[in-house]
Amino acid sequence: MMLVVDPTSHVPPYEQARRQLLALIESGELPPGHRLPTVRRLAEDLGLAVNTVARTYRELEQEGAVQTRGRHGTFVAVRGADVEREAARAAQQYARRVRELGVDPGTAVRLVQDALG
Amino acid sequence: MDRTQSLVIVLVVAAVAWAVITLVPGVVARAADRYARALDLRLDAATADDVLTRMRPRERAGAWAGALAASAVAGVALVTAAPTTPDPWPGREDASVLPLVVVGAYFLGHALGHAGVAWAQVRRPRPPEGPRVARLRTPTHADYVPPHERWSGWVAVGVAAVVALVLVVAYVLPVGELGAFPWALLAATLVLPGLAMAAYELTARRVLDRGQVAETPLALAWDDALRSRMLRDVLTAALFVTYALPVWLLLLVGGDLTGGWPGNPAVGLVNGMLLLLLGAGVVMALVSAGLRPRRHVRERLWPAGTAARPAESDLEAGPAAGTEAQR
Repeated sequence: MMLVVDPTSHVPPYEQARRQLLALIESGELPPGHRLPTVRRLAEDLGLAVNTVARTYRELEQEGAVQTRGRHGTFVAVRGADVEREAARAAQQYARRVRELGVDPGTAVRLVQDALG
Repeated sequence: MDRTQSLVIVLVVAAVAWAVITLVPGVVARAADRYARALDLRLDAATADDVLTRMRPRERAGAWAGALAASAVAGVALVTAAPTTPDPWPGREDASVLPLVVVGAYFLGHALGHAGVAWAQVRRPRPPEGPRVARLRTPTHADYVPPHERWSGWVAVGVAAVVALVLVVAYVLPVGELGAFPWALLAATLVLPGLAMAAYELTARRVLDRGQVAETPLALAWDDALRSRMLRDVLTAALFVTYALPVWLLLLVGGDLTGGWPGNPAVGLVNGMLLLLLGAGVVMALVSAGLRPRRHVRERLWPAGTAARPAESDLEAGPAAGTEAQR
């Protein structure tokens, strides 16, 4: 997957990058959880200022398209149907673990409800 | 002049001749053509210009640095072995390993020259105008160097240490009669392979941390290809050091042994380890050649599917018109 930025275009570079990233995320070509290059690396590759790429990532984060997880980097966010799929996966992991621990289903559900507040 | 000295002179002449040949216009272009075909990567006129601008100084610096290192080592060795100067290792049949040392010096010099220029080129200026492309996944070390090559280097470090330690144990116990012991070479066999591989890993990390300047996907693919070539060159030098040191050590120790197996158990131990090492080297070289390591970068970063994208459709190799035009 490539990002192409043309500095001679009338569209500002940060906006070109934002649009392309958003299109790739919405089309599913960039799957949820995909780790994006660091701001510094993408800026270096595209010959842009670090602030320009940081602005692209910030705007995508405000739109909910990406998530920044501190030092771990920037990732494509889990959204819509992906959220349910991820939650189902987490629930299956929880169910497997409580079965291993020998917790009865009623207690397991109560523990989830307590955790959810 | 004995046979070893003649072989060393032939090796040095070959290294210098190759360095001179790289100055001939068209030689590097043909090398680029061959590399393009090996990678199944197109080299059109626009890209060839940039690729050759980068390849020419790298190949020439590598060849000349290799020739210089080989000549220097051969010169020092031949002068110190001359009848007018004292024999540095009296009584040893060390001359037989001299060609190995000269070849090692060539590889080291070549890797240093090639990597030095490649390193300087990482900072080449970016064209002020025009589109720029970037990959949305940061490539890793494993994308450029086949895992079997990288890990075999570390395995070889372990093997070198085991060979050195086995010899120390055999000397201390003692196992048979080992004769005079080359302690300095033994220490080098313990330490230098690890240092060589660590230096390679450090170089790789620094190179991978750098951004990639590319105006088209094809230019990015070539940047990947040249990065891979440079990293594999440096790794070859580190591998050679790692592999040659224990071989050299065993040859030196073996050359000083008296008697035969089973009268002197040390003969069996040293020659057994040497045969194992040489056999493993041959097997590794054959396996590596069979796995087509040059194509690794193409298959990892630019697999066949990516060529379906319109912007990348020109990746597939066609006639290397660009390099033809350069001749």
